Amino acid sequence: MFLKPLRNLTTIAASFAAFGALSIATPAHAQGDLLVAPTRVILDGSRGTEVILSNIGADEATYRIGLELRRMTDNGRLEPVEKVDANDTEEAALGMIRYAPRRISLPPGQPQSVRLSARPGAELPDGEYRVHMSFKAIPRPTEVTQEDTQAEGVTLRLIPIYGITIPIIVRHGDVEAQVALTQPLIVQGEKGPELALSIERAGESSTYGALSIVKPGLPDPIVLAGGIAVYPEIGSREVRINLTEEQAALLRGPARIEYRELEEKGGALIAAVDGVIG
Amino acid sequence: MTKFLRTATAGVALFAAVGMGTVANAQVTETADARAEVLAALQLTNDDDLNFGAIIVNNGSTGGDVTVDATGVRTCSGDVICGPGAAEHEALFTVSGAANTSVAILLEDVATNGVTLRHTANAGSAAANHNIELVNLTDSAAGGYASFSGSEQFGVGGRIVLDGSEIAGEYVGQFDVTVEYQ
Repeated sequence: MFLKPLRNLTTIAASFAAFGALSIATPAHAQGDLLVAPTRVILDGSRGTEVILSNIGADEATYRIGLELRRMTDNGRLEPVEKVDANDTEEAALGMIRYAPRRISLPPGQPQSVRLSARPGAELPDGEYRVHMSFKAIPRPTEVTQEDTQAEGVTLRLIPIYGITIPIIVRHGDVEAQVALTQPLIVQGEKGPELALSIERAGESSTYGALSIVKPGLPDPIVLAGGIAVYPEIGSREVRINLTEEQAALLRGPARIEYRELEEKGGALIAAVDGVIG
Repeated sequence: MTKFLRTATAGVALFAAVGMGTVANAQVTETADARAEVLAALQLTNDDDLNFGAIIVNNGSTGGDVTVDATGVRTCSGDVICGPGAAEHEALFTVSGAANTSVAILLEDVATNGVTLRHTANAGSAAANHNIELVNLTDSAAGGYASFSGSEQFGVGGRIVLDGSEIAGEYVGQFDVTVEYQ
């Protein structure tokens, strides 16, 4: 009823296309822009918390909230892990997180909370369990009109489904971590000099904080790299920090490297190393 | 730097917190705690779609590739011809959050999963002349920011493969872009 005239139009368009099919993609509609806060959640004990999702786009949008798995690699990247490939720890993590709602429709400018809590089973061994909560807009179905088909010949539309993931970390029972830093080196990277060092970690807990490099006699750190996590699945994380030539020159010689918790968590020292950077 | 003030949305929770403070100190003097929790936020906006521009596929074409890289530069190879330029561009996203953190960009693994743009008037058809394959995605930030500045715009480009038999019409596909906080 509707398809037949459309096919006819397409055929007409196709003969035109034989000479030169024009493809024009539609302009960006930016539906599904989002804000998520906080950006990292640690749950210990039975108290729950909430994460705020806000629609910062210009149109109403529907978001899906899901749980995903990631594993950190030695160079600090998070690799996606399919749920069928989950190990026991990841399986337990997926099973203990309760959250609602799982789907939210929001008008522009409107925030809403997603409540979440962890219910670890009684027999669960002490340890740190982690999932990554994803917030993603569901694209609205688009309508094809005859006018569109007639007017544009061949068109390509690639709709990005975009979102944010944040880690949800459950600390169950007694968990701790021992951390040490290796001696840093200045190496030549693709974009210029880089500071290279490793964070060595042992124990059940992850660590999260900022690396800073201070020179004796200078009050401010020459390099400050925040938001560096070392998750329990790795015992050593290689860190590479891009440097300017000036920073590289300044850093050579004696220096102190500190790995500290974030300022909002009190800024406690996790590990430090004094050394000579060559 | 992006911060989100929780009291703006959680007025009820703030009220409850104040109430509890008052009860706990109800004996002699009345004191009330005023609480505001500032939360670090991460936000992502889509500024532009991925557009391959005008592509010419001649009758009897043996097919070819069209690539728009993460900075918007287009190249056509094989038996497809890049049409007049200007319309093609990379998808653009802006990510904002706390500075000096690590933010990663995860693109859908289209090389493994395969993403198909389907002719909208032939939904569900697997015929070659109704489908165009998206075979590659790249981002201009090379996977993310080890030392995030607080606000960055990144581009996403891709490569499509046409077999030359595609009929005229609109082809629609989807791909995933995720910004990850660790």
